[in-house]
Amino acid sequence: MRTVLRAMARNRGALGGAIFLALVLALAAFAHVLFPQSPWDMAGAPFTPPGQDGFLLGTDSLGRDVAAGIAYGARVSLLIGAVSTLAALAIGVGLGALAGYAGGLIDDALMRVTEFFQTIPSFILAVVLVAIFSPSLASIVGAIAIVSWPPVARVVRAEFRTLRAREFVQAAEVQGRSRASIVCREILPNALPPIVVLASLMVASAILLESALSFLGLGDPNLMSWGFIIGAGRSVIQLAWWVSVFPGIAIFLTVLALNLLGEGLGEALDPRLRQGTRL
Amino acid sequence: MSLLAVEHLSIALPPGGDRAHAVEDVSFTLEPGRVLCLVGESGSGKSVSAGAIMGLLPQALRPQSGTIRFEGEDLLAATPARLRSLRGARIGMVFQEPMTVLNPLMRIGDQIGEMLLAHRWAARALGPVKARIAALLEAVHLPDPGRIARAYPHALSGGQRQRVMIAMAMALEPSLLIADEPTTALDVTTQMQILRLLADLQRRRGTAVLFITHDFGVVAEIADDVAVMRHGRIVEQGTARQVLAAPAHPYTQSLIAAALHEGAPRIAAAADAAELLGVERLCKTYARAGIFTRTRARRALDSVSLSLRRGETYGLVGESGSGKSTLARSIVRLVQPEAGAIRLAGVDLRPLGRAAWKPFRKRVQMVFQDPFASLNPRMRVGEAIAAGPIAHGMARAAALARAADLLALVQLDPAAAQRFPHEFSGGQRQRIGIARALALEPELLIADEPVSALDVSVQAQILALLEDLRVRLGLTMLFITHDLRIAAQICDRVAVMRNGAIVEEGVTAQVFSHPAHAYTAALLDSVPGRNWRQGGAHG
Repeated sequence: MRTVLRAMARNRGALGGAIFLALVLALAAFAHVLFPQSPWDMAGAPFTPPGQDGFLLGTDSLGRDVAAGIAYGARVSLLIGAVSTLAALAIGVGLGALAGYAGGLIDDALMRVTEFFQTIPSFILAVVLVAIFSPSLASIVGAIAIVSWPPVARVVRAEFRTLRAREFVQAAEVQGRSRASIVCREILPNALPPIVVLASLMVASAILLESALSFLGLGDPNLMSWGFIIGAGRSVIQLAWWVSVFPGIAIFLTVLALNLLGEGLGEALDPRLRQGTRL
Repeated sequence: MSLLAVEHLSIALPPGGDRAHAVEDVSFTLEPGRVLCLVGESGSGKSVSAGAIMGLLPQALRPQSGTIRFEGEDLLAATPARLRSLRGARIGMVFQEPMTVLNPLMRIGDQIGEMLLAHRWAARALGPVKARIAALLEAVHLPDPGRIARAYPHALSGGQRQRVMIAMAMALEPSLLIADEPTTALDVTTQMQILRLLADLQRRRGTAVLFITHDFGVVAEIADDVAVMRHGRIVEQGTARQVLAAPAHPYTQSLIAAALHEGAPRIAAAADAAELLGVERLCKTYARAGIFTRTRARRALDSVSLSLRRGETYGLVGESGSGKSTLARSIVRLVQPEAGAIRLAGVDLRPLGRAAWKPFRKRVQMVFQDPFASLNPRMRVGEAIAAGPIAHGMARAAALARAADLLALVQLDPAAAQRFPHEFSGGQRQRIGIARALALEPELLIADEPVSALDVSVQAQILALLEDLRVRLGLTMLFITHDLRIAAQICDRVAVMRNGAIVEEGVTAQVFSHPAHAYTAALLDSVPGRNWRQGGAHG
């Protein structure tokens, strides 16, 4: 673990990504301290440009503070990103592990189901699911999880298939260990690095998906999210560019930070790519 | 003038390694038309020396001092372009693993042709190139050169691919051929064919050969001169006759002793002991059946029967693909055979399910081939050893305490239990693997090529440990190996397998001195250094 952290610290991109994410997390955690007023309240005159009347990032068509929206929106975006990724991991790791460990007909059947999900464009499926179940935090998280588990399942299955044939797994089998013990103690720890990397990238794509859904008006109507602010500012972009641009930058930087972190994790967890230890 | 003269060559390792130099103050010469064997174990610097001659060292390694003169020209001072024109044309190369050297997407003929054209052997005239390719393939005794030239690498066997590599290396009639462990990845009969081919080509064309190997048997087979390397230094050199007959350095002596497998006389098992394991007409066919894939079948075990008596060591010898590993894995239910019986002390194990098998896991254990792959890299050694007893109901604390005792039993520091596998050498890892197998106090120990991935001197230690444990713990052992020298050293009885069937079985000394089956005779004839060994035994 310590070597992984040290390798991460050497990778400038990953370090920058981690620092930026920590800042976003702090912003989300202290949103109510920085902006005691609700982000839905009218705080000043509509269309106040950035920097005027004490509004750092200006106000929107109803006079709501964009900066407050971004701070509260960070909560929603990060929450949805994390929870939906966890849900997708639960489905993907479970099915992928089962398919990879069992092999044979179970593997064939599960992989065809996975391919079935992959043939449907994920965004369209998410839109349909949210529209059917009416937009709410739960339905959005569920929809994102359902469209993003197939790649996890495929990666986990591939890892399990190769690890299953390894001699240390066979040795555990010969020791008479239970299947649960073999999967949890022998195979899963060795399959973790690619899963961790994939998860960090999935958080980024979940934030993007939620923003896109909110932009289309399919977000939870009670929650201020980055995508919602952009969607609301779309019709007035020529009059007040700041309403759309600042939350857009927030999404862009957060997703970039997550990607850098994921890439850094991938390198740090792969001993062959770990810098400095190469001969 | 010598063809190749390496003088005081030193190559530094990057800082932080286990020693300062990969190669230190190495000097040797190779005369035209002679075969020099560079012998050493892994990490001795023999491959780095060859890499320096060819100008193919990894980026991190740079020659520090010394000279390499080839046909009078200093290779260390040569430009990359000059080296490129020498490689292939004047210096031919053959590597260990022929599959990774050949381009899988190119026909064999095209790959050899590319070699000729790259060095402007012919001015892009295809007629002579084609004829030359056919002549080369014929010179390395490949059947039907026309068909081979049109084939892709995957269609050839390992031995055929190595012949293609040799044809390629000899294509431009180089004056020096560097062969880096060219037979290590091959079966014993194929190895002997390749060695004979190399010796034959070398004699006919007068090519000088720098042959890198770890096996003194191979040295006895082909070398004129020998240089023995250890920790980056040459500890002994001289003519093959002189070094093999009267090795001066203790390290050379230990390597030769290990190659001869002169172990202590073993305590043989009683010939009338009761049967512990009986395998009867076991059949296994590998068939990959899926909904969307075509079924393909391959017979791995074809009605195999054998019987192990309590307390004996039973050897199973054969080349790769003969089914010996499948048999071992069937006995521990890693592979499920479709017909036959596996009786352990009278109980047929074959029809038993996973749960019904569990009590027998304590009685049958296995040591695996690859010490690097057979330990979980993310699990502490003590945990790995204790996991078996814990699975069978032993309390965790007691199992961990027992793991420490077992580490002491296999002559490792009990504190090793707290460390991870990557902190150990190959031989140490194999000791851990043995401790793991012994943790369940088995009656039958199956050892599947337990030493084939290890250096010769380490092999001898592990074999001695296994023999010691077998006697002390009263184990019965099924020992699988491709190396007949090892089988002769430690087995009471042997069975020779070929194509999934046992072709001959009997008391080891008898089978090896008077083979009844032609295949056994061919195997014995292929053991490298056989004549030298016999000579050594008599004189």
